[in-house]
Amino acid sequence: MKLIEPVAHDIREPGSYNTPMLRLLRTRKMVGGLYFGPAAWAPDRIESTFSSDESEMALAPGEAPTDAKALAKWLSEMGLGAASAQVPAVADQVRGLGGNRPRLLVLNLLPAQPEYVLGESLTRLAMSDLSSGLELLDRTLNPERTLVAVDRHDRHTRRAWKRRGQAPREMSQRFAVAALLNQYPQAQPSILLRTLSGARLPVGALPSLLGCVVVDPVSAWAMGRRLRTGQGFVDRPVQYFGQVQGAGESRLLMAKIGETLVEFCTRHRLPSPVTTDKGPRQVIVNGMLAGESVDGATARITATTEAVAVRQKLDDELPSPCISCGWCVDVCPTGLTPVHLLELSHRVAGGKRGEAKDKRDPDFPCPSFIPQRLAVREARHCIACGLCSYVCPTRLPLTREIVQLRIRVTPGLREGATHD
Amino acid sequence: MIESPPPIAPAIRPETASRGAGQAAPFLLWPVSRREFYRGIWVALLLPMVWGVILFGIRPLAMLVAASLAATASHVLLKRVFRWKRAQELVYQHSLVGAMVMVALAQPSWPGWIIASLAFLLPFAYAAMRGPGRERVHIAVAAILLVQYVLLPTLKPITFTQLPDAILARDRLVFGDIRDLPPHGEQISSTFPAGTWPISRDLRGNDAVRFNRPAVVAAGTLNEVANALPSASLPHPAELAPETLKDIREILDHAFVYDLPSVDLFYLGVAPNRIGAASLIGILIAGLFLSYRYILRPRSACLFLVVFAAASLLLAFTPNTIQHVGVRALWQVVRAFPAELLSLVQLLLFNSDAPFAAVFILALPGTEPLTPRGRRYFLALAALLAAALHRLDPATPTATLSLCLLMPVAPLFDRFLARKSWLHGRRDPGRIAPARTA
Repeated sequence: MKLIEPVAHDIREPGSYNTPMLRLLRTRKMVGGLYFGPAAWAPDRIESTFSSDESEMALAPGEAPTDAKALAKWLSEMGLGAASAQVPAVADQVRGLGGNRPRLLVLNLLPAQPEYVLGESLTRLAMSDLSSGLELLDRTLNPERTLVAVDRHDRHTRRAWKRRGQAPREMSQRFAVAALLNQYPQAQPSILLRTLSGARLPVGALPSLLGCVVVDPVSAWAMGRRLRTGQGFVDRPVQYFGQVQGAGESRLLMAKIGETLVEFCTRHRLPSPVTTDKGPRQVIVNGMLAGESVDGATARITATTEAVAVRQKLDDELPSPCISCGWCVDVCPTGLTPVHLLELSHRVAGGKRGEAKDKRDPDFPCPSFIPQRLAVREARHCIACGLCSYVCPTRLPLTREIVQLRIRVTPGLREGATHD
Repeated sequence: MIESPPPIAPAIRPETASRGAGQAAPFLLWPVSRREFYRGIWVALLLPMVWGVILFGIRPLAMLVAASLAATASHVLLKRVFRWKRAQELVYQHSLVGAMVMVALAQPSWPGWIIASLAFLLPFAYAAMRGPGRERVHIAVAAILLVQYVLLPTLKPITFTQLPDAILARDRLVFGDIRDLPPHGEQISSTFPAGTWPISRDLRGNDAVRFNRPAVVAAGTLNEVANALPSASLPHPAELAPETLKDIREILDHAFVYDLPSVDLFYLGVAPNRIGAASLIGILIAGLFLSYRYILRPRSACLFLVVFAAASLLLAFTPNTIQHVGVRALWQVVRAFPAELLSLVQLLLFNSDAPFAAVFILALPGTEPLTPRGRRYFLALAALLAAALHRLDPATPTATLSLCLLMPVAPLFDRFLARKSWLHGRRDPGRIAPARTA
């Protein structure tokens, strides 16, 4: 097994790395992005409060699937859809391959958000399940290359998978560990595939469009667990970040899919997510940079709930006019100009698709000669990572407005948004 | 024609960020807000300003204090006393940076009250434009250019500013009294007893050590060297005549011995310059600090300086000179006096406002285009313009001027030079051939 050092290949003389295999693995640096460093916490266990009868063996272990078609059926049986907010369901990707052999199978262990530790924790606490799930995919899909994408600075995970790859198995012949600099949002599938293979995956498209399959750690873990115990995807690990009194340290907790947040917190003896007399509480699901704020009283744990954060609601800092510092452009991982797209979003706010109704807010001025067609097209390339809004010194709602613009200019999304 | 969208994976919910119970992502905020942004710039400005005060004395210090107090007073007046609606968007650090930039770009011999008055008016201008971010031309810099070219010539009779390029003698803090050491054997008429300090009016404004700016001397010397060369239209031998080389040697010797400061003093900033532009060390440290705070893009500053230096080197002899004298004769001069000519170019380069502009003007938001590609072209063009103007008139703050001149058209660089997102590939991803079947 080889340890892939992505950037180093580009530094050496061209002839040494210009082989077909390494050409596939050649890295492309992200345009922007931010390096947050390793997460500041590491759980020592996955806390579960389920009794033995609650974690019933819903399915018999049965026979493992042997081909892609059977795999898709097997995944549907166990109820495994999307297990991550960013990575599409494995079954959809398998179907999207249309029976073709994938070029690349990637187990994406990079943190999807800067504070996430799911990949690292599952490697440390449930390596056998994680590995079994990956081997099952590798066996059934028979990809040309199988990669485990890990954070370059996460030595434990890197070594664990390196040792795993040295085991004398069939998979080790085409298995490699890609240790990447974890600049947020490196884990986003479009960015990850760009880094690993140089291919351009449209935002929101299935990786199978490029002949690739990207698997998130929870999906791989769930598959491995089913092989071991026969259990379906009825519960999942959730990262809990409590920033209110009595919440304690951040933890990795097992949550039942479908239960309410109140039930989840009660079962784990966590502070209530509902607003109390001590002040308004805010519940944030799926990360502090790209997640969403939900109502703690009615929200439920879903299959894609990766993290729950509860904190006291902060006073919002009011946005002020753009000072043209250019930071949003510098950090944008897909090379957009977010402040121009914000302006365009305001212009098309009440108009039809592609029409620029001049409804601009006087507080958000911008030159009016922006190439609108280009901006409309580029709005589709926003991955909603949240970095532009994060760094904006004037606190402009850039991400929100760009996503709104994308919804307005893309018919399919616009319909989805109205249903919502 | 709007392009058709790519197929959307069922798992991706693009509407996620638009819905939600309340606030939208992100829920973390970068710790640098507008206030911290401008605070970083004025903290960085302090170091070269302190150095300027040490070099040029009490008068710049008074100018700095007066300008800061004036900006503070008018800021408080607008925001707290008058409670003008438009003034509510003012940021104090922004007004303070404006006042400090004005002082930094002022000559030490300028009257402080003019700068203080302008600093008082500055928040009014900002408020009229509804706070920071509205101005595409930096008002403080424009005000200084207005002072230099319009106001001071008008007020010359009453301000004793006949000596723009001078180091003030009586005000110096650390270099002592140098009234007895005038250059070129001039005598400063002083009949005052020791311990009694005359005022400028008593000395008829003659209380400063006068010497020309090194950049002006360097430019003039280069011109003199070119004048000493024979015209290219005349027949002359392959090598320059020994007499010509001797003349050039004398011109260079005279300049280095009598007119130019020693190199060590020059790099310490003991040469006529703007208050904030005198200390290269201070500017360098301030630049590192601003880069550390992500306020200044080091690449932008380096690119601007490199292009400015390269253009200064190329324009050491003006195109007219090259046409008149010929490349061959100039090459022979360069071969004969490489160190001297390089020193002259060095003086031309560092006795300018280019380092100051590369750090502080570029740190002011809104100066450059937004996109990296637009920035590169913008900075290269601004540096070329600055070097050309500086060669023509070394006494003008040309780097600042050229950045200010190009600043209003900076969005055009974004408009015409912006690259598409890298996700917009040349090939349609849907047409990529599928991998080999199993």
